Amino acid sequence: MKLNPKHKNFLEAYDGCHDSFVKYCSALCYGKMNTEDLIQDVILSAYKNFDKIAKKDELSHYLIRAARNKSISNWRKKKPQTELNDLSVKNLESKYRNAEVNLDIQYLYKLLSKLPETQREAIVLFEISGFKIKEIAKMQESSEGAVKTKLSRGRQKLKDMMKQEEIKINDVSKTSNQIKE
Amino acid sequence: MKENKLDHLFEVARSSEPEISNEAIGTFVKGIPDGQIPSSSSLNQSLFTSKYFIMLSLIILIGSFLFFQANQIDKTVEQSLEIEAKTSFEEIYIEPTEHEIYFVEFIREPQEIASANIYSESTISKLSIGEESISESSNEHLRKRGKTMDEKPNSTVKQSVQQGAGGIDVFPSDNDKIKMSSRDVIKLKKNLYKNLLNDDLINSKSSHVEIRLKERAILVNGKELDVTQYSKYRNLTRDAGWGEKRMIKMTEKNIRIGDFDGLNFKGVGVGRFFEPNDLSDIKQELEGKNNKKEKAGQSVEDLNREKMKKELAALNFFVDEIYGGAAGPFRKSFFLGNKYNHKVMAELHQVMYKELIELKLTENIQSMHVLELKDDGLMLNGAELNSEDENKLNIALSIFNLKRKDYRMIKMSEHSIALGDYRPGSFTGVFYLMD
Repeated sequence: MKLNPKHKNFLEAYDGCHDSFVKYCSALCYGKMNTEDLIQDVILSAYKNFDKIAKKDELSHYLIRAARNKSISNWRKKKPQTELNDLSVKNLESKYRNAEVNLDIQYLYKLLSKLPETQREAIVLFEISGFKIKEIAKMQESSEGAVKTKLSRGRQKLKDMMKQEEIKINDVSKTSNQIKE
Repeated sequence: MKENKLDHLFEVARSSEPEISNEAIGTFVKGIPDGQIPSSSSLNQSLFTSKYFIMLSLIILIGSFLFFQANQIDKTVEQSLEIEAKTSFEEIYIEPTEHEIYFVEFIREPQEIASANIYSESTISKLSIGEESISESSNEHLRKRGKTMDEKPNSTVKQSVQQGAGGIDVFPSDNDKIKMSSRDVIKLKKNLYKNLLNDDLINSKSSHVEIRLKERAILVNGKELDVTQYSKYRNLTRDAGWGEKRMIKMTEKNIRIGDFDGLNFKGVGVGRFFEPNDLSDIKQELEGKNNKKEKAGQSVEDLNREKMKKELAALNFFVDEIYGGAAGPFRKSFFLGNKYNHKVMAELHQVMYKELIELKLTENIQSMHVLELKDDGLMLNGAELNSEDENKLNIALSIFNLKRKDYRMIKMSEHSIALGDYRPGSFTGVFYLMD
């Protein structure tokens, strides 16, 4: 298929953002909406507005912001539905063949989904999508210091959640051992 | 230790492959048509708030009114109408190309889609599928009124359905006729939801409600009402009458009142059965408005669109009967569409019907079917299959490399096929006409 110049330019600019953008969307959508739907909508919107984006090398910033806004408006329209949790798990299962990787990612996304929105976004962008603190500050329209605080608090909360989960697991195994005895 | 575990999780997420490949996005972007694609919101803005558009519409309206007043019926227009009226559907019908189908799953903005009568899928399939009914009705329409069809897009649907019914009154004739206007039906729906919620007979306004209006009893979602509630709801539904088959079925988006006999339905209804989603199609819709209207009759694209609407509605009704509102509005999936294009789906349609007939799971090709591609097995029209039939269908399906998902289903009628995933509130996938 022969590409027109707009397609070509868009794909060239998009190429560098793909990994970070898709991973951000995956984490954002976990248990809330369908990742493919969100990506489809955001890409269409980005393509439509591509001519208006002054700095093409900052397409990733546009994509991230559009995904965030789109997801928020979607959640406002319809409240998160529990069935989507199963759906997210199924989707991830079908994408990652390695069971261990799949479990780890599911576990992480589940923990992240419990964090406050701004902290989750900062952590996903920094730890998973690989953006620099400066870039995240620009995207979130805040200072670098604020981003660092969000990262640190978010990490702490994740650690606490993991700790609590471990306690629960230990309790269950203790009880089962007692029953056996 | 925790620190390490958390870092390990981040490392795994960072180094894993993204959920959707870059190639898939590339194919999707290449499929976006050139030019300006209005987003749904900007479309609304441009359509409804643009001063330019409103002014232009007014000028056109006033101009056309004056023109018609002054000239009565222009001879040339009359001639062209006659010519068009003689043109049969077959003459102007062109096989829809893949490109056309790709962007056609758009249904008009939330105007009353079915303020007319609603029909069972069997009725609709008979009516909508038969090209003759469309051509006849369009000809009649043109001859009698001397107007173009695109002036009143809904009239074709309504008229073809009424005529297709063979002149039989579509309202139930046994007990008493349902003499309710669209406004009455909407009002009744509102009242019913309000009262059902107050009486704790349903959990939310989005619940799927089925009210059986028997002569001496009223059942709400299978539960018989006590004496006090009975008299209250009898009063509320007085206009709907009663009878052995008389029911009110409603969801958040639509309501049907009438006699339900298996999959057949006779009665009235109001509501939305599908929603606009495809931006590209909105673009086509806009372009259509800006272009000069065809002299008389609908364009081929309009006819295809009408046909698709009817096919989709028929399939939705069918699935709705089986799963109780499972169909949801249709949403185009570009990712699925890239792989399962018109050609592949036409083959799937052919193979599936052949298999179903051979396995005697269907009596004829006119029947509609919904096949669930669950992880743990196939289900046909909501029922489990025996292992032998399932194996044979599995072999047929394996040619098409269809991924199994609990939410995935194939919906088929004689003239259409849809493949996609049912998710709460929507059906995301692909839909094609097979003619």
